[in-house]
Amino acid sequence: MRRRQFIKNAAGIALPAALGGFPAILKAENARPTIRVMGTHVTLQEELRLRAEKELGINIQFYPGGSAEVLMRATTNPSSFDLYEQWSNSIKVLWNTGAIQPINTQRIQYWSEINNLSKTGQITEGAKIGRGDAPHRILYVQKDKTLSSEPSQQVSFLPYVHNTDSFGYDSRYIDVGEPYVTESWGWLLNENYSGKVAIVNEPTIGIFDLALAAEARGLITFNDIGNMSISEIDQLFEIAIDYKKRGHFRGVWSSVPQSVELMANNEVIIESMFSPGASALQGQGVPCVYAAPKEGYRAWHGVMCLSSQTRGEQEDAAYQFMNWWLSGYPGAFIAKQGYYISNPERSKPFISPEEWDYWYAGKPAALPLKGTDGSISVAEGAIRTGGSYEQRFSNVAVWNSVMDTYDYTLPRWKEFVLG
Amino acid sequence: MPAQRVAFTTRIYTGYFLIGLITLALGVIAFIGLNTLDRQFNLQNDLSDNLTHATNLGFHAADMQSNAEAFLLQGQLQSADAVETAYRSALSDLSSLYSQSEASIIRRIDRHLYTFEETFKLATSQRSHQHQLVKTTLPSITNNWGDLIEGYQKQTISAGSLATSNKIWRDLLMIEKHMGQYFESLKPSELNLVDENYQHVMGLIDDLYVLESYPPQVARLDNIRNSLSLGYSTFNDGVQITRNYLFLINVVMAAESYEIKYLADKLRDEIRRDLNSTQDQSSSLVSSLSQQLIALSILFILMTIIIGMIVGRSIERPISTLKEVFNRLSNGEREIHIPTYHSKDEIAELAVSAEAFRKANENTQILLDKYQALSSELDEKVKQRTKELEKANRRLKDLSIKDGLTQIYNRRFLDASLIENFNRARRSALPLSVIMLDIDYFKAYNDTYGHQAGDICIQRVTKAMTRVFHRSTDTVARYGGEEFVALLFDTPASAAHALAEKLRKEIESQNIPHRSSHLGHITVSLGCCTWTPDTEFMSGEAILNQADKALYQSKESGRNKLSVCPKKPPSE
Repeated sequence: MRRRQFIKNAAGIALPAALGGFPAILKAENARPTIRVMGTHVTLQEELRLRAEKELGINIQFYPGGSAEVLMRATTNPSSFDLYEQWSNSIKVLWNTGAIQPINTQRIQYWSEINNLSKTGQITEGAKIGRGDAPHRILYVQKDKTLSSEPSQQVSFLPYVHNTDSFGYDSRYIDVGEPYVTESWGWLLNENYSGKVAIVNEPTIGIFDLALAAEARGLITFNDIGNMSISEIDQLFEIAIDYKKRGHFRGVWSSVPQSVELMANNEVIIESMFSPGASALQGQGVPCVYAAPKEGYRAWHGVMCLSSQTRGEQEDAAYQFMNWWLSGYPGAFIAKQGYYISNPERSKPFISPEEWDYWYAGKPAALPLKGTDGSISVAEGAIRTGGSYEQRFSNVAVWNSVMDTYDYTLPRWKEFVLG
Repeated sequence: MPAQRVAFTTRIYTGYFLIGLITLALGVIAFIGLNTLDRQFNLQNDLSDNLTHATNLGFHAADMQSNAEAFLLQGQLQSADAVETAYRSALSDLSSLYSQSEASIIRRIDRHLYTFEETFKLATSQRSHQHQLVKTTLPSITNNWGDLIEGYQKQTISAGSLATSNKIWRDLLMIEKHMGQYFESLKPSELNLVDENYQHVMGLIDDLYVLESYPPQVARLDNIRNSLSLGYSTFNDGVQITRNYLFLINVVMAAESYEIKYLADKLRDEIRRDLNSTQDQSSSLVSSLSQQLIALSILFILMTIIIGMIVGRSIERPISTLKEVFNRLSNGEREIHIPTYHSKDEIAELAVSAEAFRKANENTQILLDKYQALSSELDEKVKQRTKELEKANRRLKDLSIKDGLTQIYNRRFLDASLIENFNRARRSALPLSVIMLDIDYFKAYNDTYGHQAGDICIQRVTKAMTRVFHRSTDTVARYGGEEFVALLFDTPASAAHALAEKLRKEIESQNIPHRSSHLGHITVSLGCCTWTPDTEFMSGEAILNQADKALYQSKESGRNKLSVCPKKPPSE
């Protein structure tokens, strides 16, 4: 629905532009550099592409796809893209396979504005640092070409879009809990919801939902939940597969629309969820509560990476595009979809104070707020679960991570899925 | 009798028509019922087919996954075809299911099938790419390593370099071995071993660089390092591709096949539920249909009987009524009510005929009555005449046998009766008494009182006689003048004498004045003679004579007395 809406809007924007000066654009197009951006639907949105093309005077081609698919294409064929937009948990793979090259922070116009979440792991002083592949741990390129939190002028990715994930639940069947106090990942393994639970089908993400849930219920403890040992993995999957075999899980979902479908069809009443899924369900009238678990969120961080094969004109255009992303408008645009940008202050002038209060400050919406598609997406008086941007990112339990045990996890994951 | 307005044949045809209608209704209900049942059975067949398809779909999903695993993880090439076969079978089962209502589940399954198939294609191409890397590209690099090491060692003079290069050679062999083992077993531990050896051998190569200053040898080390680096990066490409298709099979395809299986099972359960409810519906339909048919059949039979009776009676009743009418008409009854039928049919015509018959009958009867009246009038007249005639005859007869004055028998009748009585007495051997009497001094009475008084006197005497001799067998007659005779059949002498005496006294007691008699009143003299079988009188006349003689004797001896003749006639 959302994507279809975007395409329609895109057509609406493109048409007047084409009528305005057809021959000039055609000519200009031929002279402009073209960059190929590979990534997922979360950031590869047509409005952004058109706006960036218009503002930067370059041609941009988007190649959106599924996470695994784009990662494979990127790692095996770095010459097939110039920029790669995905999650921080793909950085290790991309870096290790040499698919990406370091980004020079001196060429990033607003580098200094990027907040400490991705630089030190702490959005505010004293904030809890999330486990796993927290962006600051894999940001800086060291002299020995390894990645660490030690600051340098070269970074493996440009920090930009990020958010926290948790689970969503249908308040018609589950009593609404108190954010950070009673809401718990443990609910996912509550036997009362047996048969009505789903988990995101992504081992580097879903495993943390399972782990946080099992830990919350006291079934297991981890030495480091962001870097589990083989025996911890075995123990976790033993628990998960046992639950699965007892019919506790309806299944796994592989896309946001599928997660929406499951809850809208009443096939599940609680599941791992991404924030657009919760918004879509609320839009459909399903009272889906996006939880703020007391154990903390599972956070994700978008990464924009430069292909190891990109040079010259394309490289310049790629830097232009990266800088454009931090220039304010895109951050404001994605803020209306519930995502955060690494330098929020620059986006602030692009949204109304009411929007800022709602999306960033965690305050109730003073008036009905429109989404990027122009329709009302937030009712007056509504309040985001989880509080302000700072509060949210001060409560990160773990970041989506590709752990060292990733390869070992895969067949266990399959067992869980098919169990 | 209700007047019937509907024609006879119409009633029969209506009866047949009604029965036909009921039969038709029976047929229609049976047809509709059977049709519904047929539809139910078809539905059941469809559902049962769908159940098979949905069940198979689940199996195909499992087959797809297990064969995809066998192909991608174990390298069993024929399993790739099996995935395709299972996929096509699943599609075929799904397309057979399309007609049914669970469109959203089917759409979802279709989507998951498509995703599975696309993912499998992608994984297959990755696997073939990996195969290329592992079987061709990587060996073409690693196969050089021996020559590269050997080339370096040929020019090596220091024992340290030689030893280190030997270690490098051993590490390279280990790297090659673990690389091979990783692709063979897909065990993540092999990756670590490759990495460890790689880091180790790079360190060793760095060590050699320190020892080496002779440019051709440095170049050889460069070659070794480049080749190793190329091998390692090629291996990593292979690993990445392997990880990718492992991700596809373990995560994407597993989830898709699970989803297909889950949804197919759900569909199967729903179809099974539908099937069960359809079966329940069918069996309740069968029972309700059979109940309806039984009820209708009973109704049909009842209606047939009722209609038959109504139609039959509506025909039979007028006919039997008319039969009765005709019977009565044939018996000549006239007071008959003939029903009027407005039905304009044969019955009505028959009733009209009966009416005509009745009218004809009535006319005939009227004529007959007239004749009868005439006839009885004639009869009466004849009877009257006969009576008159009889009366005349009787008077004639009386005139011939009775005395006009006294109304007792005359002398002529006496003569005949005497003979008759005598014969009867002789035949029956019963006594016969004859009394003869004479009014004393009657001549003088006539002379004294006139003839009219004489007649009255005679009448009073005869009346007394008829009073005394009143039996039916007694015959009282005027013998002549003032002489009278009584014939008393079956009367012995004593009785006769008593009667005669009674009569004498009777007359005497009447005290009819008679101045000319010395007795002063009318008296009679009587002579009685009785015949018995032992007497010898041989005729009536003889007896009469004897009685006359006895009378004479009475007259002679003083009158007003009775004299009796002797038992035996005096010998003459």
